[in-house]
Amino acid sequence: MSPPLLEIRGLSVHFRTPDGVVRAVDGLSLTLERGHIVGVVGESGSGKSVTFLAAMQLLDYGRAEVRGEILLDGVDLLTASPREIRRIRGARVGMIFQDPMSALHPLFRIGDQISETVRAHRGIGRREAAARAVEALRQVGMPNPEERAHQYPHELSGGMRQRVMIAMALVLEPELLIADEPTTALDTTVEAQILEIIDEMKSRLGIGVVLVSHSLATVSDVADDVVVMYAGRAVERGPCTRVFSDPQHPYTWGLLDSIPTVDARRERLIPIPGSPPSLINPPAGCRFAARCRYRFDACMTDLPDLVERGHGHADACLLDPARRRDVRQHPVQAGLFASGMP
Amino acid sequence: MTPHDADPVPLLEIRGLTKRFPVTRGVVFARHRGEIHAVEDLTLHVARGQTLGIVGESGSGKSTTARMIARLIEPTAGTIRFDGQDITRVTGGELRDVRRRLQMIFQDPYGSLNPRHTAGQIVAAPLRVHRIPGDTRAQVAALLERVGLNPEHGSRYPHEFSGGQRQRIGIARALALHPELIICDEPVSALDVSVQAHILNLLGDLQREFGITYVVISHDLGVIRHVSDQIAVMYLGRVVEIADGQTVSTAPAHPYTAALVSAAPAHPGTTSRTRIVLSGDAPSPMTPPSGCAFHPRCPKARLVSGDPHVVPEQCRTFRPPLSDHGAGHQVACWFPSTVRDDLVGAARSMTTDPAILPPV
Amino acid sequence: MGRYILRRLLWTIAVVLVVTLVTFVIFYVLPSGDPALRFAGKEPTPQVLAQVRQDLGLNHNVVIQYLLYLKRLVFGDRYGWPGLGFSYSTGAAIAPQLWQRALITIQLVLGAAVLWMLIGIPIGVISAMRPRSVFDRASLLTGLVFISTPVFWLGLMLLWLFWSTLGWLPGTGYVAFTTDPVQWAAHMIMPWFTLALLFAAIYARVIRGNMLDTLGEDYIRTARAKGLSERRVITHHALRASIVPVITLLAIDVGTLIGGTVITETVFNLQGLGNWVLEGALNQDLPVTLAVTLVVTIAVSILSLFADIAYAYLDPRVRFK
Repeated sequence: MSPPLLEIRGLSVHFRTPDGVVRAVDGLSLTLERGHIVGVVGESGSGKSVTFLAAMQLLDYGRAEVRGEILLDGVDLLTASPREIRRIRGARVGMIFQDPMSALHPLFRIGDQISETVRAHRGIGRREAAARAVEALRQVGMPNPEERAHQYPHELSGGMRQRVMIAMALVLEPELLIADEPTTALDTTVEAQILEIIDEMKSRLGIGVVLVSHSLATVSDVADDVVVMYAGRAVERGPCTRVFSDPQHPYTWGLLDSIPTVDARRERLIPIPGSPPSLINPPAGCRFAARCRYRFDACMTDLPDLVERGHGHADACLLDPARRRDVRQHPVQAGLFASGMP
Repeated sequence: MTPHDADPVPLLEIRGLTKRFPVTRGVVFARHRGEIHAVEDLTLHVARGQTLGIVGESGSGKSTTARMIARLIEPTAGTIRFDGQDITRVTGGELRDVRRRLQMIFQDPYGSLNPRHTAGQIVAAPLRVHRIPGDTRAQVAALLERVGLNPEHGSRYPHEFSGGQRQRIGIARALALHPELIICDEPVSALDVSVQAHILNLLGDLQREFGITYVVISHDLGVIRHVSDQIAVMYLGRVVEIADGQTVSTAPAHPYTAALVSAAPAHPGTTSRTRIVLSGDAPSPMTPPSGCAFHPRCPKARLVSGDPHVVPEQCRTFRPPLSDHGAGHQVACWFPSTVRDDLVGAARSMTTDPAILPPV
Repeated sequence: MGRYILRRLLWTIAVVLVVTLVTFVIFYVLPSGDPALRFAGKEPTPQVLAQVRQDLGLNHNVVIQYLLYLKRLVFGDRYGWPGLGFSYSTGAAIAPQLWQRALITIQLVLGAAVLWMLIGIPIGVISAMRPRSVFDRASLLTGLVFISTPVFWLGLMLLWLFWSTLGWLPGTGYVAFTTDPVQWAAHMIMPWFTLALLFAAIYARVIRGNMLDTLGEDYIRTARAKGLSERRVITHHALRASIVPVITLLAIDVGTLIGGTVITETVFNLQGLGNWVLEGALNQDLPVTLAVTLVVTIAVSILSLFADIAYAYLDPRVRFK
């Protein structure tokens, strides 16, 4: 049995700041198989982006302390030498980022930006690299790719630019695609186009995809598995079908109850009270406890780890699994709100 | 509930509202190159105590519309009537009086508050400008508390608050004069998911308590669906459909609305529906297509003609007016859709052929 | 683009007209004694005075005088083209001297410009790559020294060190390139460095600032995520973006420097424009002053046009506005 495509073990990323040590990621584990899409969901401060920047050694190392392992096909990315990691970036792992306008170099033609990747890794001549760039654009559904290749990023719309980013990330047919909030800055109908392209490219190339997003709904539409992060840790993970039909962690419940969607009837949303905890001095015990309607004493002292509940579904909550459905219907109201509203 | 049932005179009535921005070249000798048709011939009304949601993507003109209603910019043509009074071109003292009753909340909680003023000063500003009698400090404290902030924090500066809290300050500021109408331009887009719910609930509570009428603008159909009584869908500067939330999400008549609804992610856990994926990008507001602005990308048009390459002459030549399609439901389409239409398939048949993709 | 250039050239002509008009007004029209006397320089002979009166057309009214002046400017006078008259202190025709002196000044300025770019840019780039390091602080300090140092002191110090003490370089004066290239360079090195060191310090800081901003941009992160070598990220991606405003700055600096090299020229005894206009001012020799003013105006206008064109060429976002 081959190792999973991507395996994160006990990752922690701490930043030294004048105010103290920010524990952006604190004990994260995650697995991704080839041909699968895993959605990593969390709000700002959950550590979801930092995790994958750390994987590619793109963090500012003057400030960051990274511990744990991130294995790509069994090889640890965190201990890779600068030379090795450069060979991996772009060729074995492609990355796309949130805002395609600022993520593309404004002064170079998009065709050149794509062929640059090809030439850096494969040492191919200019003409052939340019042809490959055009082909990559065609594959992501860019109309008139030959002409578009000569254009500059500001001449394209947001959706087109994101297609360029995808083409650039996948031109060398990597094994893994990390998409960090790829559709957040885009219009809804354009988001639909981009997600479809990612899905199609995944199928065609048989790659694994990490989709980082703050939108549970986006992830549930596209991903096979989901990891829900909170305050630097994973609080629930599993196949999307299971996690969303039978969520186990109170934070996941909170997220699901608080998002307005198109088909939901118009009722009062149930927001999660309080605000995210400080990452500099995280509370002892469960990080979510202060905002949790269902907490009890042990929650304030014991930090729960992910526990398997079967079929790949795991959560980090001390509540008795057998009683969870029941508890969710009847939340305990005993005074629990953290100081102030968000 | 249609606007006409509740109140004979809608609180806000817009007719033929148009805004065009000229595009010029050259610095000294500015030459007129063309115009951006940001908003064209917009007609809407909002009944008192109701919420009108305006939804659209970038380039739809929804933000420009919000700014025109709030009289931050002046329309090129058309009229705006607020409680029967024509406010389209009022200025000076008259405009100030209007502002007492018509307020606005902005999208960016970081940019819309003056970083050099304390929260208290920001909320007090409208009271001072309009010379509202009474104890300003007490009023400010009451407002801050009503929006869920600690009144003692009134002496803090914006950068000391979180995004959600800053948005609350903006709401308190808008509430200060007890306006009858508040325009909310993307009130929660810049906020985290869990904070959005708080703010949306707050807006709902305030409406129930004070009878405020809202016009909410957003690109997020989920947010619009949640807060609105009536939804207006905009595309390239025009309204293409007006209906209540239920109709919009279950039986949209305009193919663009259908695409927008299908593209909006479903609530997790519900069976995911197949998306209608539109091809190409929205056209430039400087050169809108002839006839119906949506025709180059419209899957319904292809269904009607039976050929993925052909758009009916009618759609290409004549712009469909906004017409009645049932109680409280209006559509601007020659061939309004029904649930039986296979728009998903039609859209897909369009994308596989690059030759028919509209020039962008 | 062609139409844009044409429009800008027309504007340049307009600017030149305005400048000549203002200069004319100042020198010809301000009342204080006999203008002919003023123009004739110190202690003129009666013949010179008469000549001046005729040249200036002082018998005519102001407008005619100005138009005559313009006419001579455009069509030339008996001394050649353009019609700049003769120097009232030396009696020599201005136009031929103008080219010679301009050539020297241009060599000085361009040479210095090349030097300061070659020195300043690498220092700026390295400082940005290692902010707050020893190198960064050292270059900041050194830069401050050179910015604060008066130019004449720097020039004199260089002369003292390399000529008087070490004898490595020849002293003041100018040797034409066509006469002896080696001597030409040897004579120009110190003046070049005198001018360049100040600007190098400034440009190093500017580049450093731009690079630091650029290195924080998302597209640099993308470049690294593509697996490009750090060298390519810095030199191709970051530098390319940082240098655009510097090019326009360079064009403007070179333009204004053409009229601003007086101190360096004086210290090193180079007969350039700066030197000349100083003499002219001290001797109340207004045709000379006027001629140099015109040259500088035109130089600045053309170079700023060049700067705008270069910017549009380098930054495609500006191009299509």
